[in-house]
Amino acid sequence: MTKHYLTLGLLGLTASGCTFDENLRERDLTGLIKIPVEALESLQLIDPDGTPIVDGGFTVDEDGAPILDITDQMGLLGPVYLGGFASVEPGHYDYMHPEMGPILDSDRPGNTYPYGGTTVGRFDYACYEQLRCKVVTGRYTDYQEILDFFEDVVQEPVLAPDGQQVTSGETYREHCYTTEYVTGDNEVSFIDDEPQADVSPYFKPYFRLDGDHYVADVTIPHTLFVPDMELWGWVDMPSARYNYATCNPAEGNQTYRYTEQFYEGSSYPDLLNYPGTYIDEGDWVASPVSVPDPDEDFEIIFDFHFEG
Amino acid sequence: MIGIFSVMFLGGLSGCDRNAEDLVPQPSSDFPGVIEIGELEVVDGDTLNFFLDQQRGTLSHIQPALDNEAELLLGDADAAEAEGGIASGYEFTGCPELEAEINGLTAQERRDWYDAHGTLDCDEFIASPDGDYNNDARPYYYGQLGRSPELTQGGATFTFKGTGEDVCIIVDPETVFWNQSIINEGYQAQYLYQDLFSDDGDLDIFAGMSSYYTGSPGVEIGDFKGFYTDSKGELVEIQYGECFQTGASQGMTDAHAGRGTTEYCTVATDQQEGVEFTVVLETFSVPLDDGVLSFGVAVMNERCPRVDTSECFVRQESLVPSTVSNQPRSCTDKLEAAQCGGQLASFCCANPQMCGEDGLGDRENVECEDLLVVDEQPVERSEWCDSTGLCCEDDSVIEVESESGGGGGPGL
Repeated sequence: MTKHYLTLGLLGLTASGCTFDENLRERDLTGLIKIPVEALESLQLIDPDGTPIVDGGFTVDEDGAPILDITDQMGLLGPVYLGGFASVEPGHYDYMHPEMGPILDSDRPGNTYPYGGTTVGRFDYACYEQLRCKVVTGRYTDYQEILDFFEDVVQEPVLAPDGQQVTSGETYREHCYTTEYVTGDNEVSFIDDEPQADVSPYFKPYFRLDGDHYVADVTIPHTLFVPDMELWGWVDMPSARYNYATCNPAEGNQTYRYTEQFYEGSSYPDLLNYPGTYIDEGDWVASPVSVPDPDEDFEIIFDFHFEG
Repeated sequence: MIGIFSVMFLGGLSGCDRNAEDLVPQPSSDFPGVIEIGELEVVDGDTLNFFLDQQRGTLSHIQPALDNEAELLLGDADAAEAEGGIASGYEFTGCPELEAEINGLTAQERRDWYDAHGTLDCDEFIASPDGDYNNDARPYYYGQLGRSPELTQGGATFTFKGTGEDVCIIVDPETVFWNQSIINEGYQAQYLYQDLFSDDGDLDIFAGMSSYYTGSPGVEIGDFKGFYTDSKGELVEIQYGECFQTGASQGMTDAHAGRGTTEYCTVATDQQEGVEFTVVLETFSVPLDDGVLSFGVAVMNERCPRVDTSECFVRQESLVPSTVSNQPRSCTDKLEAAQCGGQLASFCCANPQMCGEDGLGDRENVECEDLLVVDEQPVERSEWCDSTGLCCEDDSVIEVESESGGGGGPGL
């Protein structure tokens, strides 16, 4: 009989431990982001001579005739930056922008002091110097897709260090394995042949086409939750020459291999602190969303096209 | 039997009453833990060369005591010698009025003259020969700090005026410190001898606009932190300090040097000409040997990479504990010179009382005889001393105080 009481008591104590609440203010916020297909349809890329190569949702030939539909080319979607802020308000820039703290340096705007944030896709070094700051995670399923994208869409074929064009995904893979000292594709972040795999409670930076929008599930992890805080962000869209404003090619890890010596590129570290200094022509900016309850899913639409 | 064990047990318990208070220096009324220095001038290297009687453009440094005997005569060297003085190494050009004023002053008198006038600019001097252009701001400062009372932060504060350009703040706590070379293969002879750690202190440097400083100069050490409250009522701490030192780790910008080592940082005063900045020298540790932390500090009108920020810029910062004089401790100037000249191991062999007690330890195949070398030939200590001038005149063994200091005695 005594044993039964003891067991019950232990069970009760164990169960009471399950209800322990640390009262942390940091929460995981989960929701959906939506980017209009218009973001790619309105994108224009040009070659070094200024001749359009992508226009009106298609790659175009010298006469402007459409060749390839680019609305399924996820490589044209740059990283999506998402943050939680005290408030987002008009008046600072031509688009809604988070409230800012005091201006401490005459060369910079005030800090937004974000509560937290994340990205949907990030810059990753894709084994070739030419691809620094040009490849975003969650946009490609294999090596060949990257080669095809840069040859057919950006129209700057990937070149090996010896100047020869890389045409085979297998060659690309071997180059990555050799130079990055990896032994499997699962160690390479910029390709993912299972982008829809369940990695809950988080999500891979994978977009799917849903009606007029590209849609992605996202979790903003461990963010300070303040009732009625506002979520906001922007998509860094490529410039006309396919460069991104939020990546610095002169930072990041360094490659030292025979005659190759260069930095591999890295995002700027203060993107959410000073977003106004990085948002540039062509980017799509979100309408702010208030979060009264951290357990409710949010939906953010990047519906403002900043035209400079 | 039980009685013996009881006595031993109680004896052991009584040991629990001890604390570390006996091992550290005590606060002293002679050397307060918090001091206010006043205003320092953002000084030009050639102004320091003027005090040191060095040619303009020469790498400058600061030192607490200047020669007050030799008259420094401008003009022809032979004529200077004929007049019983020394030909000045620092020459003015095209300013006879200033030359007439300066001619014949000793190095210390030059410093005193500059303190009173605050300029070496010819036009400024002619415009107002009795004017004071630096408003009593000192070109550099040497001082001493005691230990602050328990649970309070000690340190020194001073101000300077922004010039609109980058300035470099340099502070050097006493005295010199070096790591021991612990490997037998490929060791650096310079560091074979161990450091005497009990004569080293440590100051950490912070600086920012005075309007952001939270302390009370001379009373309480503060910081440069402020707070911003966002629209949701969240409090955000803001660092208004502008003195950042890069650490050994990449990206570490709030580093501080260890004991006995210079700290320095560049502060940009762009668009802040005439704006007052405050510098805080926080006491991190006080030398155990006497409880008095001596230091020297200056603010140069250059970015730090363009200034000598080594141990050799602030010379002779180890001062005799005294409230009235700025005299360097016996032989510490030579210890510093040996450090600057890469001759530490030889110096320690010749002056073992200035270094750690353990000497060369059990390192095989290394003897002091091998380190006292002149022209690549082993020599006796006296010959090495004559050759280098790096030997202490007083060879008495230095007694490191085993109990509390407090600035009451001379220590070293």
